[in-house]
Amino acid sequence: MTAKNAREEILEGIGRALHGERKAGPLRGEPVPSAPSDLDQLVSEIKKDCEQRRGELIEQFQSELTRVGGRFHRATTAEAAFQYIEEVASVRQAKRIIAWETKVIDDIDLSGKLEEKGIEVLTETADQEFIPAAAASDIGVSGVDFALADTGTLVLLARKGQARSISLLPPVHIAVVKPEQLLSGLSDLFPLLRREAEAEGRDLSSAITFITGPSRTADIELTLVVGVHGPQQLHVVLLDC
Amino acid sequence: MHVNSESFIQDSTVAVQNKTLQTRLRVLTGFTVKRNLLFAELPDGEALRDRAREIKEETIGNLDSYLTQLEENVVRLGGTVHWARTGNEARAIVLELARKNNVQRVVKAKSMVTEEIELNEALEQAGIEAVETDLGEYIVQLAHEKPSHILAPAVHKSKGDISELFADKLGVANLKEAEEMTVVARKRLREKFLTADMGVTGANFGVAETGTIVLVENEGNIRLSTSLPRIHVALMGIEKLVPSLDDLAVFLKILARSASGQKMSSYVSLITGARRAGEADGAGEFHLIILDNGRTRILADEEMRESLYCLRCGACLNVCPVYQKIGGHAYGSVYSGPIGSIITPAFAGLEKSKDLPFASTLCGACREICPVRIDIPRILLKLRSDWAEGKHDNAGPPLLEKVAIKLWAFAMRHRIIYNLVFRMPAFLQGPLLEDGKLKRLPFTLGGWTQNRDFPALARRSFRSMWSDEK
Repeated sequence: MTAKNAREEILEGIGRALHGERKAGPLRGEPVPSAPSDLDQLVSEIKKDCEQRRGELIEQFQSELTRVGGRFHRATTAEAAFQYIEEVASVRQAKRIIAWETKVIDDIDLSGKLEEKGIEVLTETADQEFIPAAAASDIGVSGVDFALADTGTLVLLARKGQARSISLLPPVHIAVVKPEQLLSGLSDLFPLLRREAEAEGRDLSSAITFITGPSRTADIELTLVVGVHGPQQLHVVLLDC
Repeated sequence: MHVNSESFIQDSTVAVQNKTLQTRLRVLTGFTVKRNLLFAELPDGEALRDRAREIKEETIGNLDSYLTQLEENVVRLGGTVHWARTGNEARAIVLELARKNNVQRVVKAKSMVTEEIELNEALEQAGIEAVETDLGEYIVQLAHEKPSHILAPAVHKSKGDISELFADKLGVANLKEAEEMTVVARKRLREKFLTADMGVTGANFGVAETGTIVLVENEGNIRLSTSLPRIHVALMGIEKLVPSLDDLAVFLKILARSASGQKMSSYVSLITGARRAGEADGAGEFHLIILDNGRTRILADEEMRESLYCLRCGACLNVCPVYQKIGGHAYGSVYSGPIGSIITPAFAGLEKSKDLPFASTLCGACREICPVRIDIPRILLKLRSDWAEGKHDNAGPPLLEKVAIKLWAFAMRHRIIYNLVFRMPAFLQGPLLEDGKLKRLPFTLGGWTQNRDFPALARRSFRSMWSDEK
């Protein structure tokens, strides 16, 4: 029983079942990246369209997010975004916050101001083992890569500075979204992801996560319970400045 | 695939009288109501279903090429691809990976394919702890039961049952509300996640062009299973492919709507290879096991092929008048309900599951709701016909039935014999009539009248009345 035998036997079996003696048909799927000129044009059309409809998209995003149990807050300055996060931290009596290491989060300057109030602010490069630190945090603060208006969905790409656990292990997740990150829906997303993949060198990010509302289950008598394995609360701060 | 479908008649007879079970199952209609509302407000909902079916036709029709493409991409990304002809081979691959990496504890996401190959049993026999982490699966595992619904594995259990179970197995007594029980499970399972060496998941989709595995969930346990342990093993049936990301978008729009009446599940994870250099979390090793386990056989049968389009959304279970009365366990297979009644015989053999294709009223509700429009009633009829014609080894109707059908066919072709044979009972039925109805037919015909009355046969046939009128 070698792996190679199983592979060939399965592929041959499929070939016989499908084509008999005939050869397999051509593949329809386009390899990544698809023809750059088309993709460039498509991406710029999507961006233009989303820019023109931004007000409408924000409204729709807010309504869909709220419908699935997320909380929406609009901040017009980095200072206002900080105040909202501070407020959530104080309500939750947070002792420790773990945050992405990206520009949007740096601009809000969490660590500088929160540590004065005795709240520890960590990132993935802190001098501690990361996963236990994230698991012991009360709040995770992240940015996003995209947000989808028609379903109220956040799209997060795993990469250096954007650890997966931050939006997953703490009981509260606060995501900071910039208005220009809003897309109308999934159909806009995938061309942009292809573009991201090109920038990263041919491949998609190792983990792309769509987040639509807080973690939920209905496994006991189909009663909706929020916050089973992932965060119980999802806050979205739209940083519009 | 191991099945217990031979006792379907007995098991379903017991289940159909279980009013408590039916009360539990009634909540599932909530999924259908929400599903219908969401599809009604989706402007291109029906077109999306057509498109999804076309994509499945295209992918399954060139499956060998797409599988090779997926494999190339996963390998290029540093992942390992394993191929398993049978459940046995798949179990052996997981066990070998666990041994090689000194794995003590495995956290498992809900996955029909791991249920199909009975992975937990194999891991436990090898002394490895396998923890189901989906809340419903965790409950079912604690109770040493099998899931009874694709999407809601513990739908057959009441809050009271689960409260007793948690008191008994976890030593936490007097839990009243679903919230409290969920908190207890969260704490227990969080410890398991943080100390597990390996995460095992299924795969809702494999994207050939990018080498991506797509996982759809609501709880976050799949994200934890792929983000925390050092090894991620994904098991995927050969049929789960889509060619490209654009195709994936079509399926993501219809899957959650069909499964749970949500526009989008809480979490969708697109996993493309293992963690890359510089990332702080995510599994460092990624293994994909591609499983056949009878699927190639289904592929070869053109009449059965479309059963491989199934997304495992569970919508057909929720609308099925038979499933609603008997629940999932009576089917004796991990795949229950209408879709189970066609794929269980295909996987395990019709001789082991001959009653399942007959466990349907052929009302067509399953075909109506199926997101990829699988014609389940047609396949049920085909399986019934295969059975009647004895197309399978050691399978076919009993001798008496065969003789009776032969005689019937003979009489139908001979007018005089037909008149003689079929007029006689009208005169002989007298002693059997109660309130003008046949309530108990004699001998082997008694099956007809076990649960319903047979109307009295008319003294005069329609044919003779017709000729009088003329």
